[in-house]
Amino acid sequence: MNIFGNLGALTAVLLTLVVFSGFFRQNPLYRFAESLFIGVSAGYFAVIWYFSIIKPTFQSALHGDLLILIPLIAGLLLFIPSNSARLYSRFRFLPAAFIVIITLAVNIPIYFNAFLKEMIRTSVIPLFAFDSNGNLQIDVTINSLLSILAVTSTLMFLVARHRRHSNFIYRTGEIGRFYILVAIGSAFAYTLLSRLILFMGKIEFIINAAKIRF
Amino acid sequence: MKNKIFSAFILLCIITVFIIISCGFESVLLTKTVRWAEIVIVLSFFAGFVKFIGREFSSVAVSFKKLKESFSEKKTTSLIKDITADVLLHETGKKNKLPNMQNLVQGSGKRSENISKLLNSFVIIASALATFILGFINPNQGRYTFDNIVREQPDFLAHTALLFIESDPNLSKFPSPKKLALYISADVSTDFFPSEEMLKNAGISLESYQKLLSENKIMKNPELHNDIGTTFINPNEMKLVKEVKEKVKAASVEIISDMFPVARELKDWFDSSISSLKNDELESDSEIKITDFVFSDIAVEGSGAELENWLAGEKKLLFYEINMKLTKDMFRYNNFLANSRISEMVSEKFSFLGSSMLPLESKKQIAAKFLETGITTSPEIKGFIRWIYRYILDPLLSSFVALLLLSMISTVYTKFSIKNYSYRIITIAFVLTLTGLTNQYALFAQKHFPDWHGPLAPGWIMADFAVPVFKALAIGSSAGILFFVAEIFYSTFFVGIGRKK
Amino acid sequence: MKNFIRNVSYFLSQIPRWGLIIPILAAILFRYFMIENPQIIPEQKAEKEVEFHIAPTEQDMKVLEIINSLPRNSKVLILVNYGPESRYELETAMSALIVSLAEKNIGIAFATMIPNGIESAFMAVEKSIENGSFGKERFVYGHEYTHLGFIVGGSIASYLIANNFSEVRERDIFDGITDIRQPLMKGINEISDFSAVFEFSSQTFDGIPGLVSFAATLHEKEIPKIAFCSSDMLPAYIPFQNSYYFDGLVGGFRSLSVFIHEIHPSIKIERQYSTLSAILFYIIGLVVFANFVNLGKKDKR
Repeated sequence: MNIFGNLGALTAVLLTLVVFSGFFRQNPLYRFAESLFIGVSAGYFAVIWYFSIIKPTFQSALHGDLLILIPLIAGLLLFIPSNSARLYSRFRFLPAAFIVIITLAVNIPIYFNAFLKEMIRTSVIPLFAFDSNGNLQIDVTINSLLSILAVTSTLMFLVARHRRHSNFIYRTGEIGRFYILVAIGSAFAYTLLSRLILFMGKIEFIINAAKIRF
Repeated sequence: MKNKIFSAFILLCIITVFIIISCGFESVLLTKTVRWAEIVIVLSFFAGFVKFIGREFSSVAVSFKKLKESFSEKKTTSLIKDITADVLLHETGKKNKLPNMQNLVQGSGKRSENISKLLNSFVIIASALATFILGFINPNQGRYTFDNIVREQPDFLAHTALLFIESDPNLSKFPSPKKLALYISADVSTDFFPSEEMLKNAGISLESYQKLLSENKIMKNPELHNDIGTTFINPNEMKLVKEVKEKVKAASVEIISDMFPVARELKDWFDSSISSLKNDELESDSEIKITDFVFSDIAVEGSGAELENWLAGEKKLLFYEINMKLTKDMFRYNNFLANSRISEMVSEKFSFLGSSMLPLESKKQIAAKFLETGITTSPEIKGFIRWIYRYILDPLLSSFVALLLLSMISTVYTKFSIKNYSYRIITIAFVLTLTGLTNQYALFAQKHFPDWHGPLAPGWIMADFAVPVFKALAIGSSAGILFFVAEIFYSTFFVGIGRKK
Repeated sequence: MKNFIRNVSYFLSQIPRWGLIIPILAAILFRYFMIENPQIIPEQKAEKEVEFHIAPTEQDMKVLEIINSLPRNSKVLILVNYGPESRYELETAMSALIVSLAEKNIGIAFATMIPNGIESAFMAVEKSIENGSFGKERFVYGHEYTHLGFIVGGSIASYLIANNFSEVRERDIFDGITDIRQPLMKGINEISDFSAVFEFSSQTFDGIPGLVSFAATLHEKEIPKIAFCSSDMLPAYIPFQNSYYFDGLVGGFRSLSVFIHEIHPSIKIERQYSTLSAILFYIIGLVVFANFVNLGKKDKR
């Protein structure tokens, strides 16, 4: 391994240990690591943006594609400071408006197709499940009943929060609240699992690095 | 009124694009617009980066100013304190405690806070600018390009090693120079792996090659050894081999560093020559005139003619092969390098570049080989920025996120209680989900209820409790947004109509 | 007795936050030194064999079927939308997929919608190559795999990939603009020329999973789509499991482990899973213990 590889691995291990020192107490080294992280990630992203999109755009323009200068110039308007009182400073809203229009226009059909139409379609499932011989499948039936109850009661919960409604809607909403709490607990468990796997990976990384070093 | 017109305009644009996308119209105009949106988005990110750096600079200035003030205040207040104490002593004859003077003296806590803010901002600015500048400049570019070339085009390194062997008075007499070249190449870079063709040319199988590396031997005298796969090298020759290895690496990296700008300019010259061709020049057999390649005011005579000849050949080939309309993007740079003498011509002209320890002919051959292979690899994104990502950003980000485990475990320990109704449900769901994820529970489920998909089956809580809830929340939130948008639309365009002011 | 419980509870409640991590550390170190590298402790006679008991579900089998039915010498697109925060979860699965695709000579085109995804793809490729059972001798950029680079915009990127692939195809990460026509991309003019699209993700874009927005803008083009997501993203992806947006979902570490175990048993994911199970039992025990501690505390009214 050359010195660059070694230096890199050493840096990585030291930075990991510095961040983990935050487990015990916030210390100056930890704060240094925080600031370093903010700065390096900003710099890294800027490099990637530049070489992935900005530089090729300039090169396209140099090779004759003059239309590409329009978004380039429009994008440069975004560099106008927000507190500038000059006449041209109003133009900085134009590229922002353009982004909003395109993003909304692309997102709206996706959003409503995915979150409204498809969710409703997949929520509507048969109440009773039968196997190929015509026998009732108890486990799948129970699951279907629970799922349908979950969807309806959660929707009732969202409605019931908005205004005071009849006792029936309120009570159904309470069942929905129960389901939501279960979902929160379950989601928390999966998130914890994700962090745990990451933590395991980091500890192994430190051990492996120590093994190579010593 | 102005607001209404502006809102109507924005709405009209959104609806137009929405209809075009929803109906699946694939128009060139829409593609261009979306592509432009990409560029504007990136520039907005870039503007954000610049403003962020500007804000940090102003934060540094403010913290520095406050710090300076605090130091000067301390001196002034001490002086006031001393004078007042003397006056009081004179009047009362006793030393008195001075009321509320601490407020005037800036506490050491606030000063250290300012120092800490100053240092934090300074580190942020320094690291952001250093990362950006280093990523931009890409120091040690030659070495990264060399590493990439070794991985992707190993014959470059083997060819270089062979040239060094042939130019060495002692090693040139070695009976298996190609095998020796492979051996040296593997020693120069751990990323080196010979292709099938290279192994065939060297007369060695893959197993023998791997054995050669692991046993560290090279064949000298096959009569002395029965086992064809076993090889060896003299200790004297081993010393020469080590010297050659150092020279190969140094010379390769040096030639790459020197020839890299030439390679880039050559590609740019090719691109601009092709893009300047007119459509009728592509279609017909009319003569095309291309100017010679020039780098640093040095023209490579005949390069224009070489490109013209290659173009003519390619047109005939493409026409007979494809028999369709020719377009500019059919003429590929890699084809041009492989099927013309351009790399030899350019390396001949720029043979003064590169290491002086190499004979001129060898330098020309290595440079030509590099020109053929070099441009396929990345200069910037595979360069120094990769080191920054792998050894600084990756460990920092993953460690910070791993740190969240502690707060989650703390939450589990302190908050997950069965006393409160909400927390009771969450705790029980949490415990059951975790139980279902374990290997032991999966074994238990398999033994006792293998075909059961109902309650208490592994993954049941997520599938039959949580998923329907997420679906309902998605339906609810999207329906809510729909009504919210409708309300805004109504209030913008219809509220106030018919009412007298 | 009540006083005793209260005193014990108080004493135990003073355990420092970081002390809760110690058993987890111990479990990880135990696994590393006893199971992965038993020769470090010379008294250990044999490697402790761990079994993997989690059976693949219908969804898992569907994913495996799709992957096994991919034609030889075809090409696939892999969207890499994860960074260092999910690397340890998704990288192993991605490298297992790369190894199995490489065995069938299937070319891979990577693309990413986040800046971190660039290096994530390369690190997974390097991990695959380092794998002892990697079938190919050489895995060369441009020939066996390529990277189309970072495409900005979330849903905009999905739209460009799904509907205007020519805009994206011509872009090579390493040269930025057109004219590097790599051998791998020969014959690929639009998205339907790929035999499948995979996504490895640990985030959503504007609240929408990347593959969902990709599938939603695909219109009538039929192409198998499989999503792999990390455990924390499972709540965002799993509602789409039986929809027409995905043909398969491998979500969460449990499914990922099953996938790795089925497609590449040599990776021995069961060892990591057994340690994870032990730590999960510890956490369950912690919850029970914490509630016991709370019993002794007075309710603050």
